[in-house]
Amino acid sequence: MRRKASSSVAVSLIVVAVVVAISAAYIGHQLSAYSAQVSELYSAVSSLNRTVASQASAISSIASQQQSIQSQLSSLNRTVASQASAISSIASQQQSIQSQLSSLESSMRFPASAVDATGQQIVVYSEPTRIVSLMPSDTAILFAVGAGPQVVGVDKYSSWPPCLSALEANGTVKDIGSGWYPNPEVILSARPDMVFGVSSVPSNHALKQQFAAYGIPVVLLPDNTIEDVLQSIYTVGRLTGHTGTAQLLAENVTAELSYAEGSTIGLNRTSAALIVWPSPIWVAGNGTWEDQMITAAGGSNVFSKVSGWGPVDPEALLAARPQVIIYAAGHGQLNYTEFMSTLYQKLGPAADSVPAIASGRVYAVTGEYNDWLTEPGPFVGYGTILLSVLLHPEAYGMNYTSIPHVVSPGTLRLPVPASVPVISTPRCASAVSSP
Amino acid sequence: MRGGLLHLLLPVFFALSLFLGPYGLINPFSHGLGAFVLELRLLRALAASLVGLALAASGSGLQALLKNPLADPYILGVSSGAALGVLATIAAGFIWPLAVSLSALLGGLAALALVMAVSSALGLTRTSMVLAGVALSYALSSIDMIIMMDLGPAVQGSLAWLFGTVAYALWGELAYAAPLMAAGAAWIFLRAGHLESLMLGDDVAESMGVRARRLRAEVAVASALSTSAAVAVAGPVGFVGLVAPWIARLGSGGAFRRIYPLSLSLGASLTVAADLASRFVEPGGMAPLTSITALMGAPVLVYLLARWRG
Repeated sequence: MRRKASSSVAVSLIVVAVVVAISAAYIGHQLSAYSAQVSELYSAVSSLNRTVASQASAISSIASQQQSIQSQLSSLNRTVASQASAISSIASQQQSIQSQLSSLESSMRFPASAVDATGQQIVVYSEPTRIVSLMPSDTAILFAVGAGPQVVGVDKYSSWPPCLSALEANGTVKDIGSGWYPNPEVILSARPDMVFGVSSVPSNHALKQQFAAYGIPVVLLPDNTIEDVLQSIYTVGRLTGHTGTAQLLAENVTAELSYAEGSTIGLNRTSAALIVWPSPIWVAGNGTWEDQMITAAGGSNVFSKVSGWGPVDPEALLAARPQVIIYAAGHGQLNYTEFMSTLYQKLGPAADSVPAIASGRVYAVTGEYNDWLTEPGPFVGYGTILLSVLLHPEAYGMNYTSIPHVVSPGTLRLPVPASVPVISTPRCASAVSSP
Repeated sequence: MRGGLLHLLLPVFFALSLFLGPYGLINPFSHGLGAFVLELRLLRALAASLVGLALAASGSGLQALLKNPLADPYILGVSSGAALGVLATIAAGFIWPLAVSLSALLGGLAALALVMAVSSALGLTRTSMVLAGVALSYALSSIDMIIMMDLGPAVQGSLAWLFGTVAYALWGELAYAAPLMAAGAAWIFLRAGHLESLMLGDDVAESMGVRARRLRAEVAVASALSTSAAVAVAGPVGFVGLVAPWIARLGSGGAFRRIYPLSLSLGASLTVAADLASRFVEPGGMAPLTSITALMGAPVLVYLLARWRG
């Protein structure tokens, strides 16, 4: 019984031992599996750690890169700003240089001097800014050379440039009355620092003497021939500070004259009479710019024996037998029909013996075209082209029957090619802006 | 002295002439441009006064001398002679103001010399002198016309002078013309007594020791001198020489010696007033002086004549 018990104890001990051993082995196995898992986990964690660390370092490197970019950007910004300031300082320097240049230029333009038609040497020390013009031709030259904004007074017959009426209406330019009988006090009320007149008018000489006492130069421009006109353009340019424009204008006028001459070269001269006043008939004769214009336009003046402008007997028209009669119909004068009827009244049936009348080549030139013919101003070149068309339409591929009897900018376009310079009409706005 | 107050017209018009003009009112103490305008007005007023005075002196002298109430300073051919001098000068291309003025003076004096020579040849009676003057005037005017037709556009400019104006007077002109005008006027004044006796008839005058022919010659020269000088300054200004003596006579009355100073003063006032008015008649301020003297003088004369009759 004891043995049995002890054996059972032993057996049970063995069983226990086996169980323990088995369990231990199992536990051990399990443990080693766990430890393997743990070590696996550990290595995973450590690799994760490494990744995180490497990412952190990457992030920090990115951050540092960002920082460096930012610092580069800000340094770039600074550079740009400094460069901008450098540029603006350069620009301001440029401006100051430019203003110095222009002041140098104006100091080179003045003092300026020129000799007027009386032979007087006129010296101006600074740009004249209050100019009064006594004649339409003077006004036209002043505006054409670019001295328009300096003009403060014109005579009542001045009509070019077209913006003149607006300037007179807004008070920028004063109407000083007639330049043939200029009133000294009216002119002085425009407070002029320079006055332009013409040498053919006695009262302008009187004004010159009077104003000499006060030191206001009265510049008398020569006004008989085309050379006088060119001379006047140069004189006006020099004394008003527009030498370059004046030079250009004079060259343009010369080019226009050559164009008219060139167009009619080799053609038979057309005999012509230029009538500047209808009743009594006054014609342009020898020594006038009109006479020169007729010649330059391929014509011959039938009244070249008349000295200057003079009246002629209607009978003289019968004797002279012009092929073309050009009647400069100024504002308020007879129109074409009235002019023709006075011709017939004066000449009777004999009128038809004048070739110009018989063939219908009598033209009344009106409007701006009339000024081109009758003013010793910047349009003598255009006037010559106009005359060359009337005297030699064939030179321009035209027939004289296609030329209207009333010749004006509205009825006849000048066949002027691009090579002939255009005298720019001064814009009103620029002139008006200066009070 | 009935007409004494009329003397006041001259200072009044003279002062107005300094104050009024297209330039506006001017502070008399201003400098610069204002002072210059004032100087121009002073020059105009002085020129107008002297011209009016000279023409009135000449007119008074001639009216007394010729016993002809229609006599005027231009009856001796002075005006057309002066005009011929001026037009010939302008036609020759000389249009400087002093040349124009001097040629007027020379033309006027030359015309006078011719009239005196012709009258002297004819015996220098009243009638012969007037006739010689009228004939010469016509002859010279016809030459004037011929020159004017040939002047072309310049004729426009010379019209300013031919119609009369003191707007372009120069100190230089006054400097030589004023003494001539004054001398002519003074000479006539010095002969006032003799003229009074001459008005009673040549015989009476001779009996009083006046040499009639010589007196006529003297007064003719004196009036032509002052007229020529006036024309040289202002061009031929009409009507003043005719009307001023008449207004003086009707306004004051009495002997020549009494009327004469008033006549001079009235001539001066009329011309100064006319110059003043010419500044405002048309916008350009350049109405011809002769037109204004006539427009202003004619009604005054007619009014006085009407009152005188009644």
